Amino acid sequence: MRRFARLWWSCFVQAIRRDLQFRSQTIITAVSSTTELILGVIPVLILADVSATAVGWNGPLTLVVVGLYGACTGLMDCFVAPNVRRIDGYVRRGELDLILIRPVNAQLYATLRWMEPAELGRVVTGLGLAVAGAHAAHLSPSPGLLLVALLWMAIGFVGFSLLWANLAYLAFWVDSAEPVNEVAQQLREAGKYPLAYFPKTVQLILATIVPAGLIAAVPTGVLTGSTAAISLAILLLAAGFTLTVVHWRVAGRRYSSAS
Amino acid sequence: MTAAPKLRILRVLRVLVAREISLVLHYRWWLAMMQLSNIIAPAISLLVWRGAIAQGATPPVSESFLTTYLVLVSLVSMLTSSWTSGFLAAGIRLGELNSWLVRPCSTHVNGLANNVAEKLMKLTLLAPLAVALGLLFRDKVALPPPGLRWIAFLVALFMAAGMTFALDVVIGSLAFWFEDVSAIDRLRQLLARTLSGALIPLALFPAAFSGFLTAQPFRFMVSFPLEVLLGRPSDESYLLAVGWFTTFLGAAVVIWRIGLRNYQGAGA
Repeated sequence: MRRFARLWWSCFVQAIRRDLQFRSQTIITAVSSTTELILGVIPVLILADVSATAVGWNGPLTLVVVGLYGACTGLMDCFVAPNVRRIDGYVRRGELDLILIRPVNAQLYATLRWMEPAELGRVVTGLGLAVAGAHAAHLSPSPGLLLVALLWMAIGFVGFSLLWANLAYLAFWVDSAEPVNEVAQQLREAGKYPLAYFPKTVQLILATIVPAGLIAAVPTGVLTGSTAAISLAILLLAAGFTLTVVHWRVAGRRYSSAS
Repeated sequence: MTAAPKLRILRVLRVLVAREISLVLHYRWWLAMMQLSNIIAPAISLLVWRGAIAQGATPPVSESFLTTYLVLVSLVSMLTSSWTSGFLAAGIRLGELNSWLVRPCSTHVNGLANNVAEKLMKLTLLAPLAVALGLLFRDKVALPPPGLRWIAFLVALFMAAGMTFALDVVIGSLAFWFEDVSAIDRLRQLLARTLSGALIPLALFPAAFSGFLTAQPFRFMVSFPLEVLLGRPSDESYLLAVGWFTTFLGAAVVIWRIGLRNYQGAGA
């Protein structure tokens, strides 16, 4: 594991060097990513403005959700998305060969090799929005609550990344599975709304099978004092992790290589 | 242009559309998943807005308008979309434009054929998904009876598709002067996503922005056809639609012609 951590760090340093080499492209990516988050706030704030009294989620609290969502998805788009988006190409063009022959865990390497540090700009903006929203909503959570909220965000991050990886592995089963990444990204958008807006069945789906709700809505709920069953979430996460490992192994048997 | 060259261009277009359809058929999964991703965003909007209304929220539009709008918006967005700018820019940058410039028809016939063919195929996949979404919320979906309004909708839809295609040609043509136009294209897409009404109806925005939202061009690329079908846009709106359509078409023709004078072709 230490060897993999060293390898990951080398990849990260290389990604930063690459971004510094193509500076204008990096700046454009960072600006676009941040603009996307800011424009993405608009529909959510309009919804909150119209329904604050009825649903109980006012503008500032909704801003916390969108901010945390932006921070978490910024991390995901930096460390996970660039890899899962490549899976289709690996399989279709036989490039997976170059990963399979390396003396590292191929699944882990295929999931974490590529990074886009420019996307981290959204993390900063998102956290800024969340802090501003929390301040406006007069939220002053204790360090303990903050830790629990961070844990929920981490569960949401890993849970949704696992779902995305499983969707990306469809490339082993069908031709031209590339748009499955768009499907994952659109599903993730549900995470920027407080769960209270969704019907109960959809809330359940967003907390389990498609854990977009755990990215920001549940952590914000925790900050406001709501409780959620974290042990069950960790159990589900472990099941999702096992399923992903099994899926990779089964799907890998279908891989016919570049030949 | 006399009737004979027009007919020839139509024949060329028909042949190219048929060729594109046969090409696109090789990417059935790609198309199907793309359409699935197209329906997810409006479905999420529909769920949260209906959820808010069910809990007592009072948006400035009727529940029926909102539901019908969000059920149809993915279809309208798809039918008015265009993706030619990237290919056009690459053609200019790599000199691939040469092979089209020597042919006795417009360079854009190929892009147009690709656009029409893909939309025909996408429609067959997206329509059932939109129908399924409509059936889920059938209690609040209200379509107008067949008649003049549907004809006006189709005209507005055609103009919206033409405007989007023309804007795409303008952005692609910027490659005559700039090395990389992808950032401009991404910015256009970001603005269009919010200002065209592809996510939520523009009528839901705060009243303070209504003047700007009514006049800006992105409205006429998605929202306006739906407003024609489901609401009663003002006479000024129809005039604005024609005005923007003419402006975008004219800009595409002018910028393309000026750009062509700068074109050197790779290796020339």
